[in-house]
Amino acid sequence: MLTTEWVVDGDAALLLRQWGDECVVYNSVSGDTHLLNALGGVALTSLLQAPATADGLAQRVASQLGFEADEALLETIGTLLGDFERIGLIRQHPLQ
Amino acid sequence: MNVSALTAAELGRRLRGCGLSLRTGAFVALVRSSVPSVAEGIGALYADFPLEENSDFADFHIGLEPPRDLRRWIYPQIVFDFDGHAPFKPLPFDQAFPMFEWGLNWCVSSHSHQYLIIHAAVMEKDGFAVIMPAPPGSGKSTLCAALVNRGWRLLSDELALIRKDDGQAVPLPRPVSLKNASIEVIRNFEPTAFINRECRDTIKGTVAHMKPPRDAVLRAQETAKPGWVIFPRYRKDAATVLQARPKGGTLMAVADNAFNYSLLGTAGFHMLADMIDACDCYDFTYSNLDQAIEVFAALQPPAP
Amino acid sequence: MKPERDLVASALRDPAALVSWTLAEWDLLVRQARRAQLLARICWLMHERGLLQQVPEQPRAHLEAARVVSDKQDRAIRWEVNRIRHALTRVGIPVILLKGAAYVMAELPSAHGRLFADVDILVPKEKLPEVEAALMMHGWAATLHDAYDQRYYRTWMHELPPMTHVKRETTIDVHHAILPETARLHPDPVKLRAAAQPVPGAQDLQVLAPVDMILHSATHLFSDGELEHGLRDLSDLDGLLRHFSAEADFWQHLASRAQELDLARPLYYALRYTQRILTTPVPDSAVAMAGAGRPSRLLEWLMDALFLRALRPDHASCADFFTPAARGLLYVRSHWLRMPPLLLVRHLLHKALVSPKDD
Repeated sequence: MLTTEWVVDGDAALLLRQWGDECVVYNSVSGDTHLLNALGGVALTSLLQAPATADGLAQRVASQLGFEADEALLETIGTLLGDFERIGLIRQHPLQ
Repeated sequence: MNVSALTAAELGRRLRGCGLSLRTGAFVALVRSSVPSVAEGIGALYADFPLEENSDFADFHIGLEPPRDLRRWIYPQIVFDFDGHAPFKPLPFDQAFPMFEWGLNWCVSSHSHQYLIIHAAVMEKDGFAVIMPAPPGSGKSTLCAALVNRGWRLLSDELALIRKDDGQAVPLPRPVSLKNASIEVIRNFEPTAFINRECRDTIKGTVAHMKPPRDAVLRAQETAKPGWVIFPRYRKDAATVLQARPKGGTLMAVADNAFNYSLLGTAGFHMLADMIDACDCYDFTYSNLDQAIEVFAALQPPAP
Repeated sequence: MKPERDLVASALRDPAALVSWTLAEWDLLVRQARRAQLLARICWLMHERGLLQQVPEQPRAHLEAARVVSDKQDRAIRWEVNRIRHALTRVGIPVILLKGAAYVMAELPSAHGRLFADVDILVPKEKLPEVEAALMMHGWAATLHDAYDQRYYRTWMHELPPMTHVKRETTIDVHHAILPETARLHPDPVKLRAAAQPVPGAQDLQVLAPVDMILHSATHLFSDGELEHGLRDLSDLDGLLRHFSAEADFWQHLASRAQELDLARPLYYALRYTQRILTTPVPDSAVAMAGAGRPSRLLEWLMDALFLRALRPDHASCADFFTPAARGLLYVRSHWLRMPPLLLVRHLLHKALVSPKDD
């Protein structure tokens, strides 16, 4: 799992709007709208820019939000990635 | 020519015969009914509304008639007919006029996908519209009925229609529906407002309708730019509080209160996001109507 | 029965002429087309010809509102197919899409103006339990809970009872054949599956071969009991015929395949009524080749009386005195076609004695 990369699903044309800490995402393929908090918003925009492993994403998010990239954050990111996959925002992208 | 130009006899004759071609905001309804309370309700509450004399096109063909079977006579019922087809179960005969109102709301909200349609009251002041989405029981209609008697122009008490091209709120001023205690509240608040006779034991309790202010009906073609989104909540004895709310959460809450947000797809998302972006968004708790009016009167247009 | 009262068929036959229709004609057309669920298709036809802006503003608003719905259904079908593929990956069989979902994924003209997002798929009969289990694991649930209805479907019908997705509230119909085993016609599903063609860009998805798609649509339409949307289905058939008839030897192939699949009768009706109602260009030679499916004179006369009424919009302005009876007879006929007499009697008795549940 740790070596699996995650990438925004290419088929899912995602539209984002941000207000302060909030991020609203519209997935034009599923037709669903999602509200993300600061962490979710930063994580998703980061993945939009480039794929990442759970670890790598935790690092990016930590540096952007000024957190420490500790176990707790890694676990949160792991859950977040699972949620994102389930609702069709991202998919696994095998590393070469 | 307005409905008021017809005598009661002529109004009844048209409703029983070729139909009454009534313009309400952007829509024309061709209404047929042999039921006296429908004629009475339309005559009283739609007096200021224009008749569509020269057009051969109606957006909705509506009928309100008793059923053809035994229920015509035994515990009599009324059926809402949408062009030969009954989308709802019949209601008790006494509820014919409310059924006309609910039915016409259904026609608009089920078919008018050229708009983003939000279940909300909409009123205008100084060119800006306040949109008040609210689930039943939040006191939205009472507050709306009060505000439109205190300087706000009624666009709608039920359906906010947001136009695709320019995001403007399009008026659909029609009778304001009042329920239970709020009927008496508004009677006392504004004794000059005309409220028709009550219907009891409906699924919403006791209902009545308030005649829309004449000015609102005359200005039904004047759109307004959304400026505020306010979620009202009536709480007995509560303090009057206007509290800013986050925009992301507001977008989700308004989408939940929209009839056709998911139908509109990407366009719907952009329309709603643009609207929320341009509006100041609040939660509003109140128990005292006069205080509520003051708070609304003090609302400033959002910063551009 | 005055054919010109069916404004929807007139509109479908000659969309370009709509620009000169009066508001009164538009008023009736919008109402008929709404009942027939063809408002979005008419919008598409005007749009395709660059004529939409010439429609008067009031009716145009209704056309465009219908298009909003059909655009949404197009997206919904694609997403639904996406989710079905996701659910059935492990079952390891190609999923054959039928009807609307097939038209959308294969980008056929009949894809335009669809107002429903239900998906129908065809799978081998022996894979049914696995398919059903996989769907249930991914959120679909059975909708019919009456034990009789469940048994009716599983024992006699050519499909599982419809399943609805708990979150999306969309329906999937899983077929193993295109007609019930008890029906009087026996198109072999193995042959249909063997001729199925891949959807470009998706190896796990297939659609029926063109002639099979047409025969399936014809069979469905002419054995169905509820024809309130018959004109819509006829319009789909018209679209498929026009599109595929450009292929070489098409009509020959269609007629011989109909014979092979025991579907000569539905093909005969398909060609007859698309020509009569929608002026579909069917060459005389094709009609002759389909002649093997022609019923007796008397039956043909009766079917004309029934279908030429039932294949109109379900609107008072398109009905005459006999229309309700025509619809009623076709309803009974559809059950007759699906079941042997004893089973039919049992079925109708059961339905009569068990009151329908309130929604």
